[in-house]
Amino acid sequence: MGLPNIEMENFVETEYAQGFVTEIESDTLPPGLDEAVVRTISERKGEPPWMLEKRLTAYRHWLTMREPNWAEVKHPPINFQDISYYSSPKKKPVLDDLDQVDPELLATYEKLGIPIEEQKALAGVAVDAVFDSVSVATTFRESLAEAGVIFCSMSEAIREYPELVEQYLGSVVPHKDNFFAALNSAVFSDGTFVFIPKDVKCPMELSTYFRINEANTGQFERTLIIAEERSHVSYLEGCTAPMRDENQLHAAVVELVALEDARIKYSTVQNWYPGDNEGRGGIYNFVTKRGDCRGNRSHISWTQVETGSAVTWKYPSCILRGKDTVGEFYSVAVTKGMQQADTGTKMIHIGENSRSTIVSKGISAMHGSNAYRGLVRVAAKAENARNHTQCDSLLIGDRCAAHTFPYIEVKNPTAQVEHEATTSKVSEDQLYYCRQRGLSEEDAVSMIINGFCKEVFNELPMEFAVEAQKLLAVSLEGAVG
Amino acid sequence: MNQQFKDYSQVVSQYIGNLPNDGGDWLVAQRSSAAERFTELGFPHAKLEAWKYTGIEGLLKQGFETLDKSPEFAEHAVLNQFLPEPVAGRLVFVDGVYQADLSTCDAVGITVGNLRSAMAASDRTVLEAIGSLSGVGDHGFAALNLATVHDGAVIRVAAKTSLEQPVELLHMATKSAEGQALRSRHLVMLETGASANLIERYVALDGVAYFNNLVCEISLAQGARLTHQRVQHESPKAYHLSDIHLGLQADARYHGINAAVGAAWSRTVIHNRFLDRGASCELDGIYLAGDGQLTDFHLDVDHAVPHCDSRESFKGILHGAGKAVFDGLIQVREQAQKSQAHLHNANLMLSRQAEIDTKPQLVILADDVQCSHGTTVGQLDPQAVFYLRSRGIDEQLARHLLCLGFASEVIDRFESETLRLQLTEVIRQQVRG
Repeated sequence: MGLPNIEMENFVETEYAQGFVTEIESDTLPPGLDEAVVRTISERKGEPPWMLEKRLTAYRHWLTMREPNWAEVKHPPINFQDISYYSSPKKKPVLDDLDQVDPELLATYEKLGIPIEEQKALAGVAVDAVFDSVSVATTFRESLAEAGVIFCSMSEAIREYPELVEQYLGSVVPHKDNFFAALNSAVFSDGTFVFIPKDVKCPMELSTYFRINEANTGQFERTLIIAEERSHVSYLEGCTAPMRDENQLHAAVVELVALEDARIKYSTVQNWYPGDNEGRGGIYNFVTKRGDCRGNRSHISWTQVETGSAVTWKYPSCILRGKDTVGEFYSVAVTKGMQQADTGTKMIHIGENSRSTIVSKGISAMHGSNAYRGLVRVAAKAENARNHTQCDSLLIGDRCAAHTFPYIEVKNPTAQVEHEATTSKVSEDQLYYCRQRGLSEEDAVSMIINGFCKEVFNELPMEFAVEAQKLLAVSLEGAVG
Repeated sequence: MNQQFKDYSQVVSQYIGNLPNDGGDWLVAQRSSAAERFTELGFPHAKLEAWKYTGIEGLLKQGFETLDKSPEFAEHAVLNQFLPEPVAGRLVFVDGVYQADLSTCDAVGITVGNLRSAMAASDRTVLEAIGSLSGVGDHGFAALNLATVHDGAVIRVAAKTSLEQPVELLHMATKSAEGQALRSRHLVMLETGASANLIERYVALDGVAYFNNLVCEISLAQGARLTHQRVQHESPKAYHLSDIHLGLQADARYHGINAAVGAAWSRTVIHNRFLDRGASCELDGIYLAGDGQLTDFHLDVDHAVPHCDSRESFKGILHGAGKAVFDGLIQVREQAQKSQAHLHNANLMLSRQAEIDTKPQLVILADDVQCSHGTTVGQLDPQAVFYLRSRGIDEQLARHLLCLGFASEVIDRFESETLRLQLTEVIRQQVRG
């Protein structure tokens, strides 16, 4: 298994020839997936037997499943035997300075206003040791520990807090849930673990970004956030800067558990490589995200800004189990070039007086295709459940597509469910109004689009919101006007 | 299910073999390709997206047979069902069998008749119109209808004819329909600039169980206008499946007003295809579902060409253990710029056991369009009930009044006063607060 084959050696040598500094990756498994691979992953990570058992059960179940094909996306078939499922936390090829980085990438960083040190970190340039040691990440870690918050990688959590992981992992997204969740449960590489103990309000916004230098979480990321009674946490995932990644398939699973009176706010900015304008390359982002409002009066809120990936397949959901629980979903999804997104949410109302709000804004430009697919289900016992859904699609250019597929299933007469959706292009009247006041067409369109997304951006933490606005402008550059 | 299906396929192919060879080879070819399609598709099942919420187990369990018996009935019972208002023409089918004596047509510029005679006379226009809009069928029952096509209504309105009075198409089920699988295939053709008003009704004289499997193809030529009032009030044990296919040429106008208040299980699918610019389609509907009832409406509005408008507005009242399914798809294709489409679906849930599954859908591939849909599910506003009660109206009546108010927006769109009164009465009697 671990033996490097000839090709692998050649590959490594070529990299050397180009002057990259990289470790020889003797720990990378060859492509392919079978039970031995799952065992090896678990063994390499030094996991306890129950974890291996979980992985194997998931793997065996995965074998019985078929890849879903109902989403409004088209892509060539994925050969799951062509993927390497484990490589030891490897160092990114380190470049000496920013001059060696793709100038296009740098130009984007510039537009987003990312500080120079962060640009280096993102592009995989060796980061100044001084910068690293005084970095916000390190300082923040200390104050988190003081508050009793556990914020670490999933591997670390399995080693250090096995009882917590065993209790909660897979309790929101069981391995049987769907094809990609099963695959993730079998081979997940790493991810984030957050635990907020009772009565603790997390002193700061947690962000994966703080862990950027620390681990390459890889393509099968697994995140678990547990908020105990009366605790609060806000978690930011991803970052506005385009991320370089060699893995084409991403199948992450995110699980949130909110106990009584807990609040979890989960914000995502996703800007993976979307492929070129003909649709070559680009990330397939097949994510399962679900939050469980287990305790009464718990509150889970999902906010997402999706601008990257060639294919996105993502439905952050809330199971509103407790009484008086609240679920929220705010989303902006932008597709341009040949990008395709099929995204939305599920709000499962089980508890009495549970409320949910869905605001989804889709923007399609060029050949982009954007679909909202959502489910609002009110179970027979969910007295006085309340849902309001607003889905708006904006079309830019005559080759793009916008779809809306809401499912509403109600089994309780006291429920009040509303769904509204609109699809149109940027209004001529609004454009004319702006132009009349001296704005260029591009500025006017950009302003109108920002207004269109405002409701969602308002939900983002402040500094993220500013970045998201810039990101939107950069994403739609060349697509409008 | 598989064995059942195999047996059924066999029965069907035998049955087709015994059908009169009207219409010559052309029809034979149509029938056999539809039979093949039926074998290929089988019966619909819950794994098909369009049938996800509409189970047919109950229907299959009944084991309905196609016997083509001549019905026995008292003539006055049928006459009683006629609309009192004067009509331009009337077609009557009892248990799926055409009743020439009861059917009339006095007006100029309109031809009404039955499909079987047209087939026997090898009427080319009629034969070629069969399946021209519906195709062979996108689900097993539609294919089955075409495979076993034997009769139905044929209504043709000549160019520039404007009919003042409505045309009545009446379907009645009698006691002898018990256990039968009835099917009919209707053709409605309006030539250039023609305008007409069609009233299509399904009623039952007895509370027996039968299955009505219908396909209706309506083609409107340039500038034609049709108002189509349609009431499904089948026997409470009946199964009713209608596939309506509309084809609208340039500047044609279609307005469909639908009511589904009867049957144990009913499903109405309306496919609208815009074939040329400037056409418009309006669809209104009201559905009721109470104990043991499932009512399903599927809309498929296809904006395939530019400059067409559509508006859909459906309302449902669910009481007892009723279940309703609504699926409203609006598609705008790449070249269909300047399309406007607005869909609205509102549902009133009056009881604890009721269930509604609603799914409006927008599939938009052009940018210069205005499309929207809205869906609501809710109950009667307690404040409104309180308001009425505070004025001395008892709760039961207050709730009834509010339900009628909710439904009246659709009911008022029926042009026939008789239908408006009948539907109001049905709601008054059936809906239990």
